[in-house]
Amino acid sequence: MSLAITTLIAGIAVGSVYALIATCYSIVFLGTRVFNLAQGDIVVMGLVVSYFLLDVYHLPQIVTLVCAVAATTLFSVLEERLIIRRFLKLGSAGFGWFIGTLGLALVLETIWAILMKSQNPVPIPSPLGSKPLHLGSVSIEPDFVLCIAVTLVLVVAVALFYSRTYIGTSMRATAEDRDLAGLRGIKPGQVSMIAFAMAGVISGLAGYVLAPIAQSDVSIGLTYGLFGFIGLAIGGFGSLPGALIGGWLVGIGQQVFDVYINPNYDLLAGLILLLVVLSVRPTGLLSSRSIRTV
Amino acid sequence: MSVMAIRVRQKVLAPRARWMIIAAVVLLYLVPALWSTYRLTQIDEIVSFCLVVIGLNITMAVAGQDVIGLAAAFSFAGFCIAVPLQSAPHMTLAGMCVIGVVSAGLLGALLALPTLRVAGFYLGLTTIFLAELIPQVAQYWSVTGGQVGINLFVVAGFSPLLSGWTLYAVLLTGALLATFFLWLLISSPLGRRFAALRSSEELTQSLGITPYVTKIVSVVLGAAFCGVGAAMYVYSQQFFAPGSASVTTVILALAALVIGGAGTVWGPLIGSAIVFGLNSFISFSDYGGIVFGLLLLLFVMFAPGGAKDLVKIRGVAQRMGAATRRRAQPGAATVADSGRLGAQFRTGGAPPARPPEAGAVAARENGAVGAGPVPGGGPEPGPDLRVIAARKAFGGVVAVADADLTVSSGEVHGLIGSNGSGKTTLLNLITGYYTLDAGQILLGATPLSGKSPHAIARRGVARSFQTPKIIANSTALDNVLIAVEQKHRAGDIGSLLRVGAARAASQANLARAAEALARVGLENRALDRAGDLSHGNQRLVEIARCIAFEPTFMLMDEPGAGLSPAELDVLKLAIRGLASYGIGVLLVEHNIPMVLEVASRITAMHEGTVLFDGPPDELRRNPRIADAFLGETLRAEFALDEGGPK
Repeated sequence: MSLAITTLIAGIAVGSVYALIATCYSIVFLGTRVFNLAQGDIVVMGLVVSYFLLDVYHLPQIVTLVCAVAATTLFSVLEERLIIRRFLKLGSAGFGWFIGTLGLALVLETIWAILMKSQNPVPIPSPLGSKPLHLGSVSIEPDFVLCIAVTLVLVVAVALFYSRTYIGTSMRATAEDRDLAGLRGIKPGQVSMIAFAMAGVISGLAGYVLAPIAQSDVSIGLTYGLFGFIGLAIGGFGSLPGALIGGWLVGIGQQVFDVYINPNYDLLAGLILLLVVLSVRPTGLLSSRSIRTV
Repeated sequence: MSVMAIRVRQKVLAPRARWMIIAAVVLLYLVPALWSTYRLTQIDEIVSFCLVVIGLNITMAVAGQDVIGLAAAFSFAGFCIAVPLQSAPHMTLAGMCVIGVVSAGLLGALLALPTLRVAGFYLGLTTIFLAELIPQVAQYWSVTGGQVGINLFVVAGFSPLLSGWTLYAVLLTGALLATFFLWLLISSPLGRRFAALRSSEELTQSLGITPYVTKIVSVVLGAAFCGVGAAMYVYSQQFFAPGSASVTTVILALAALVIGGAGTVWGPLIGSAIVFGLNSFISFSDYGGIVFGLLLLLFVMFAPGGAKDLVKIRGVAQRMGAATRRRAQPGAATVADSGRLGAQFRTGGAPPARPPEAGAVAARENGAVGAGPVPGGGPEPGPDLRVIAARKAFGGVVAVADADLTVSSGEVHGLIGSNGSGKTTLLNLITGYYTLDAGQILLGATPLSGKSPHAIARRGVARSFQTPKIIANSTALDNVLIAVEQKHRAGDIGSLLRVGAARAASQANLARAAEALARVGLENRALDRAGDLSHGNQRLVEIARCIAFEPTFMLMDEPGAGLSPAELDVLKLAIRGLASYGIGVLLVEHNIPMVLEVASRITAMHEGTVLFDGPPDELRRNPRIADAFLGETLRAEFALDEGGPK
């Protein structure tokens, strides 16, 4: 029983990271109609920064947190300025952005592998310490709790941004048509910049809370990115609660599969789950309206 | 440009281009002479991956589907071939190709069927996911040989018939045949359907083509080529392992496609030689991912047309660049094709010596426009198209409120009203692009409501779009030909291979397409790239396409917008011509004088409801309607010729 509960909590924790990546996809897609395939590797950037600052330079946790978020945000904004804007200018008809962000993902993944090659794969310390919390007979890793808490806060914050702020509601209202944003006094460039900056902040936080869980494995970017996509597709494209529920479902499913069936085939299980859900309910669980084709 | 001019250009260019191609092919066969046998195996590997790039080219560049991870079909087929090979070591290369094609094709269908119901990029992400998972699953699975994979050296009885230079020659022949297939495909009915799909899904539907089916065909076809590549790989490398293909292979294949020139015939061969050549002949140690990732990223950003764009950027050998472009463009292949058959539609003798801009007008003066029978003889006068109490709301806004409309065959029916009065919404309801909230739409006794746009188009209801939807990269003739081919099917495989009855049928179709173009006076622009035509001529191409579709009803959404007075005259003649052959024309138009002139019945809409329905004269006499729709000036103008339309 306690194994089941531990598995469940681990699933929600890992699923929270998928949910954060799915949220980033939604934010970026809403602002630019681009699906950023490098998102998973931007999350890993937060992880790499955490590893170097904590394990190599022994800096305090708060400094690490600030630096991780600053690095991913800066990178995302640069990506938007230097790469995405070029594709937006070329028009949405081409598939350039799709290929381009995949190429970027490979570049990042290779850089992370080279950086970590000569490093010792030591655990990354958790801000909450390593002493497990005890709830009766069940022991819970504090990292998991942190991961889940941060995700809940971020998803609520993003939801509030879209429903309560002027820029947020405008971004949502003008998602279908970039030029429309201009009518509300917002430059189209500003919309995509804000979207990427938000995704950058979330990715940095995700990387920081993921670091103690994923240890120093930096090859996980694309895999996490793809599991994030599965969460998004299952939950319902464009829906924030959908991203959260979908991410959690994928995380729990994956942990249950790893513990009780076979950890070597969890990617295959993820793909089959996706194909089954899309066959039964193409729009996902929480989104009732079909999305417009890109 | 006239057909003659095209021919002259071909006569000048063709021999040189042909010799260049022959020389390049001979050199390709001689490549092994440069290196030792060890290198030969690497070159065989490059040829195998070239097939993957050809498959990618078909699905992504020709049909426009974002299946960026299609190379996953290669890894899947590789294992599907290598696993049974262990117990059947005497299998031939042809047998391996069959397994490869079938397994890869099935995988393509399995992935495409659920994901394409949602959005194109879902399939793209799913295929990348598959490219990531196949090596991971394979390295733990005993059936696929675990981490070492399947090594055929050690299989007793495995002794390939072909080796060395012979093997290379066979594989290269396979790649060249695939390239030839690609060239045939681009100028075949299937290739034109792919081009329509790439250009616009709405356009595809309006021609009665099911986009979903066409997309799946393109994915399965592309995957099948990856399967052939896998067979070549297993045969020549004699092993298949988790490391044989990964996400990096996906990126290398994309880079090869982009650098070689996406959508071109020779691009995959050139791109594979550059990218996979670099990858296997130069050791990048750990930095390969950075090199190829950046290469891909920079090319899609700054030279999306591939290596030939670089030539243009540097300004080096501009003439060479132009020659390559002409040969490489998908449209150019079709030009060569239509050029050969072009004489067929030049029945009216030499074209008059006029500037090309005047093409449409010239034809009108010659009496070509609107004259002659409708292609295919024209349908018999048939049942009415009836809209009964149609209703459609978007959120709280009621766009169409209980509107009634009847269009009879053989009449021109004008539909007028201010912006936002619900005209286009009504048109979209009839053609199935929107679904009705309430009411009914009938063609005779058959309900159209609830049917998909392509099903409605197949019942003979053609439409044009507010913004002309044309296939910019194809010729004007090809834009019309695609509509002819939906009425007069010639058999996809037969027309692709140019054999049997399909050959004659496609010649007849070409003549029909040319005739439809002549009816809007554009026969002189038949072989021009449609995207290069003026806005007015693009509209006329769209109307020619509707004519070629041989509809029973034709719904035109503001066909007159942006036309010059001369082009408007051509349009009017074409519309009258259509009606005189029994086609019911619904004309949505802001140009009220034109509607009053050509329409025999007019419906006026206001805020979603029908305000008026009757003949034009009655509309003129109705002061309330005249105030609302004609305005002071026009009223005064028409009061002068109260006698009726000119």
